[in-house]
Amino acid sequence: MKHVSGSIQPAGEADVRVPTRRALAKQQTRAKVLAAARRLFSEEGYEGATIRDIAAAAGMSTGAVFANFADKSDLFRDIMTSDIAELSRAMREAASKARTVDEALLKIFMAGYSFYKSQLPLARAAFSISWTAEEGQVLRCIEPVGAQAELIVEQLNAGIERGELSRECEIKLRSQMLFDCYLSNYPRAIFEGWSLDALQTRSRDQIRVILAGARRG
Amino acid sequence: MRQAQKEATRRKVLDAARALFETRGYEETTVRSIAVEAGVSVGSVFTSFASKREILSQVMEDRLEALYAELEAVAPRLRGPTADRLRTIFAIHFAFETRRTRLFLAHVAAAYDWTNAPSVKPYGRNPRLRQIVLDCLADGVAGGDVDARADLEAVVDLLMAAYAWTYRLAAWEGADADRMSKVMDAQIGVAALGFAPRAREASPSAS
Repeated sequence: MKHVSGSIQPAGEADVRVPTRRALAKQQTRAKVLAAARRLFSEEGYEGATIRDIAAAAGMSTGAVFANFADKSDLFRDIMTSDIAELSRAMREAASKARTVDEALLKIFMAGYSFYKSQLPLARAAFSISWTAEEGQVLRCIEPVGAQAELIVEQLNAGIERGELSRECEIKLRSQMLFDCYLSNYPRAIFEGWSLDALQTRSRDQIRVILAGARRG
Repeated sequence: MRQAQKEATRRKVLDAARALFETRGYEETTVRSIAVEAGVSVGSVFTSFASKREILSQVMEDRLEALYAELEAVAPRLRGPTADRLRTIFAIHFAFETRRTRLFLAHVAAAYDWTNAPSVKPYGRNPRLRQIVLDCLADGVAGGDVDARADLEAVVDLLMAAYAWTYRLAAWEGADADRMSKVMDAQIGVAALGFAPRAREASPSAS
């Protein structure tokens, strides 16, 4: 697995033109702020981390932070968006190697648990704010989150194509349950220190239960 | 005497906090305003509780006590298929909790808070609902509509996941108890196909 700091680098900067010194400085500032924010969100939680603390940790003024990010929720969203985009790619890659729908779903789940294993406090911060009306809405609308839900739908569709699942298998309901189930196992890791093996065993059972009524024949 | 006084203060603080959390909301309520409402000093609030979180968790525990007492009395007397009994149990929950949606959501969000002292018992760490659901499934095993080989703990987790995450409809879309119960009913239907004896025999091993 890639180290998390890899995702801090702005994506899509493959432009051959040498960036101006000013643009480069701005980019470095952003990266510095994001690294400091990631650390503080992990240590203090979302509520506990203030823009002032983040600025201090990054060695710059609050003004410099606000020149790059609208507010704290903008910062958090930026971190989550790049992480989840990276994770979505890992999930897609993992699922592509599976032969059955059960296996594909399990690989998707496990890609998530492995990814966050090393940064559970950040996952915890995300869960905490996801329950609030405003911030939760913001998190839910992060585009890669939709991509993950879509990836689960794709696995069910592939299962139908391969004849594993019935055509009347209520894809919308089942994929939602699978996604919720995937998310709900995180607290086991966050609060109870479950190992990846334990998460895998539990997930496999849950996937089996959710798909049982959808099998063909 | 001293003990009685301390208990009285504690009671006053909890009553004031419950009222303020429900009218103003949890985030907007300060410990200072709780003290004012209770007619005690801020210092004496802190002799009873370590933090606002801890007050919230006690307020919720008191509220939930009534719900769990009701469920523990009702659940064993429910009749019919396991799926329907589960639907009733969760519908009672939603009906109860959506009377104070904001407070409940604050309680859920608090489960992920950093600064929780061991004395804080946030949402999800209360074993009573799990036990009620587990008992309901065990009755199903005895009654023959839940597979005896099913991993009941995994099924409980699955149902608790469906239950908890259905609250997002309340957090994000302002859904009421009826709507949440409908969504939950469908999810219980899916789970029931998974724990039914026949379905498990027909399903291939997923490993």
